[in-house]
Amino acid sequence: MASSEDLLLPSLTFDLIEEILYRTPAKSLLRFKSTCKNWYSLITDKKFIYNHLDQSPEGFIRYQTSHAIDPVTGIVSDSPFPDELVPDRTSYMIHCDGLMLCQWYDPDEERRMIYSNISVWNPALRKIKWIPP
Amino acid sequence: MSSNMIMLKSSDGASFEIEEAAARKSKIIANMIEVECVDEDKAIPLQNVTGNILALVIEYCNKHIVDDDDDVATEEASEEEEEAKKKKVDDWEAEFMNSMSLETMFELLLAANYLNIKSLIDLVCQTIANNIKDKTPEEVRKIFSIENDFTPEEEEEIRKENAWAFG
Repeated sequence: MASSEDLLLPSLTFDLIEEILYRTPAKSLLRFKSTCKNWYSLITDKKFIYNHLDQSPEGFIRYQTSHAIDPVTGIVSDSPFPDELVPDRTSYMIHCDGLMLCQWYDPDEERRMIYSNISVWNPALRKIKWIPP
Repeated sequence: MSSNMIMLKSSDGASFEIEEAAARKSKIIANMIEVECVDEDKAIPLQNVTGNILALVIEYCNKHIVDDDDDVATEEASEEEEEAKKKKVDDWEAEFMNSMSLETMFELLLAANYLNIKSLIDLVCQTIANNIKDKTPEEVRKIFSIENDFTPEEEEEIRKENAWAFG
């Protein structure tokens, strides 16, 4: 493939860049947040996030401790778990729009006191939010 | 062939003859035809599109006009037939975009945007997205001629938050 290094590509309007980023996977967008301030604002903008979700193809996910598998395409990706989670301690999960509402067993008493055992987990962003008791 | 032909003229003076039905894929040209500002023996000048890019746009429009005609003819097509047809279009589009340089893609996107051809904008944006999805922020800045306006500390901070996405 030709290198893009020495040729100056025609510049696109920000509207068109937005259209391209709507079609870019979430993981790439996390990386592209550090491209520049404009991109950062766009990628973290609520409206953009909802539109991106609308355009994202629906998929399945089957997760294991170390990785996730899409059972339809067979594509294996990295672990969708944030470090603070212990994956085999979920007692149940309910999903909506790519988010998982999870209940966890947490044997650590101290943690149980601080956090509730219910959280919303976003496997695509590997982010988790604990719901206060 | 009884369909009307239209002449288009690129910014560098190349003329192209195209069926009206195919040209109507462009909302801009369709509008011009509606309000009758298209003179039959005069070419429509497209100041923002060069000949080599216009040729690609026309190739795309011609291909998709055939597909639209098929839709009308086989309104009661079975699901399998629909699927087969969709696959044929997808294959054609993949072939059409395959081996196109980023520079050509960018020019094609600008032309599709200027001519307002929604499905072509979608196709090119998706292809560019596939092309950049594994690139680093540095590479992306080069491709889109973007200047990094973060301080090194800010950049480091954002990267740390999303470190796993760099793996």
